[in-house]
Amino acid sequence: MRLQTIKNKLLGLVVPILLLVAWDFVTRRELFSAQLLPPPKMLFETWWDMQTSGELALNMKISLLRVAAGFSLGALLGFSTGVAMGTWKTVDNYLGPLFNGMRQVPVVGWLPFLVLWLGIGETFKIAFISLGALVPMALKTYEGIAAVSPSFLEVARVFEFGRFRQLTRIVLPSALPSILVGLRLSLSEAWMLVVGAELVAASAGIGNTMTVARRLFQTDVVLVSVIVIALTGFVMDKLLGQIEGQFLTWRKTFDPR
Amino acid sequence: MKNTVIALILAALTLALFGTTPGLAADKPQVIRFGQPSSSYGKPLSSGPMGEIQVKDLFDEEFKRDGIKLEVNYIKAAGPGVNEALSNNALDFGSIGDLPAVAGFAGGLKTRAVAATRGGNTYVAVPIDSPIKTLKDLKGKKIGISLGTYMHAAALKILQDNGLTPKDVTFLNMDNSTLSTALATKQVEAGFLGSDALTLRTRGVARVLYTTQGKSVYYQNAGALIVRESFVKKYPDITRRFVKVWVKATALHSQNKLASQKLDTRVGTPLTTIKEDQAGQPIHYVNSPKFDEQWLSHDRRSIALFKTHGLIRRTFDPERDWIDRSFLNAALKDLKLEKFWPDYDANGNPKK
Repeated sequence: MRLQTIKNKLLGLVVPILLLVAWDFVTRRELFSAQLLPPPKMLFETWWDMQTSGELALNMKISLLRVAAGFSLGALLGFSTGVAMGTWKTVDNYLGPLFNGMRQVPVVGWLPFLVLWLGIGETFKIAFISLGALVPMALKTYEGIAAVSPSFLEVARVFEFGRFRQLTRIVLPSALPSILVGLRLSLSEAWMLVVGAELVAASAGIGNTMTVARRLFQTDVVLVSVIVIALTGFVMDKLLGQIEGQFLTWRKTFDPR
Repeated sequence: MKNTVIALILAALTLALFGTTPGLAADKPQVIRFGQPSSSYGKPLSSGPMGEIQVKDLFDEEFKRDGIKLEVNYIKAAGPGVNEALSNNALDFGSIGDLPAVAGFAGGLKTRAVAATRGGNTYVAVPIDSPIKTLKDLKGKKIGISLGTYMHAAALKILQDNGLTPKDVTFLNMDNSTLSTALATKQVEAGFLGSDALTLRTRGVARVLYTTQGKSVYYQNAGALIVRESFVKKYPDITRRFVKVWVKATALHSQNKLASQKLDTRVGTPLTTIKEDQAGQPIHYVNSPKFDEQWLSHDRRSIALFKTHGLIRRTFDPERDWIDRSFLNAALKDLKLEKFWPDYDANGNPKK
């Protein structure tokens, strides 16, 4: 069983390794110019330079701080919205259509107005990230609550739980799987949007590293940044997945990824 | 019927004998694609030598008989955007500033510099009611700039003179037209930009804190007409002829300062702005295509500076590695313009 799991995990490496080999092959044959597709070796050297100069760590720290702020705010607001809409029919009636309408707008669609209202400083970036993080969180919380089995609520009524106890003892625990999915979606959205926000205007952060490198024709730095962004996102998602697994050990069917 | 066939054969023979230049049809491109930064005014027109080429049909004069067309692309992302287009073979020639041309070559873009370009001042503008009084006050400020352009190069030099480095300020990358808006709406506390600053001042939205106008030419742009190396290899003769057209246009643009400035207004820049920007500088200097001592020393100093600030990661010598003078020299000889422009020394003064 354990061996099988490891085997399955290794399978996920097959395609990336094949791609890497193909990539190395085409760059060695110089089928593309090194600017259009920098060779893997060059990327590794570039990464090493960026790592040892401390430039990468500094910019990643700034981006991660922005994500932390935007994600916490967005997830919290999203959670509250989801709980409010899921628990109180009146709130759902008032806010539901608006929320469902608004969430059809891609977050980048808000860019012009966000820049107009908030400028291009930190406030804008955090608002932009939290807007993106809010939507999946609210949606998944709402869905999770909506899916709470009526028989659970029946039990709550039998025990004469108050509204608060019903929420904390019955509703939220049974909506937890869905809420945690929302949290993961929300975090990955936040991570993608920080790069977007930094591409718009920034003086630091990994998105800014990409902008500057692009302007100075350092395509290898752009590609290293893309890879670092991908790996960071992957690791963050895995970590949250682990936490999710810890919370949901009681669920037999749950398969921690 | 028979007559028609004979007529057709005769026509084909005539065409073959007189209609085309020597060489096979495959020896020439159908179109020559030229790229340059777009102006802030958004008009798809050029100033400078390319403006002369457009107004006086100089390209067709040379290439019409070959059926080769000229395509001028105005790139909003400025010089860095021209580099990207050159790298995926979407352009053949480009006219860009010192930093993008150098950064492209240092970054591995295979180009040849075939003619010098110069002139182009940088201005530091601040919102009209800004408390900023001197360049030293820029420390810690949010500054709009089009990164990777010649203004970025000038910014390094200006900051350095005032004991600052780019790390002491917050650079926000934006194109020149966005920067104009950002200064007017005070989203940035200062901006490094071109002569657009003068137009902003006229509109009453910005104050000019500093200009490279009238200062040492080291602070000005020293760009180049560049061409993809693969294009030169494939079409050396077409390259030679294109450079000849360019040099001819440059000579026409060097004759009468006022006439040249008036022509340059076609992109939308007010005449007063152009006049102030070029005040005190001979039009011969501004347009000289020669890789003289001024241009070379400027480029060498700039390359060293860019390396120090990490804008490029490998240095090179322009004369040894990058410039190909053969086309320019041939054009100057063909057009009998060898003595038309003086050679300028490192300070931009004509050499005796």
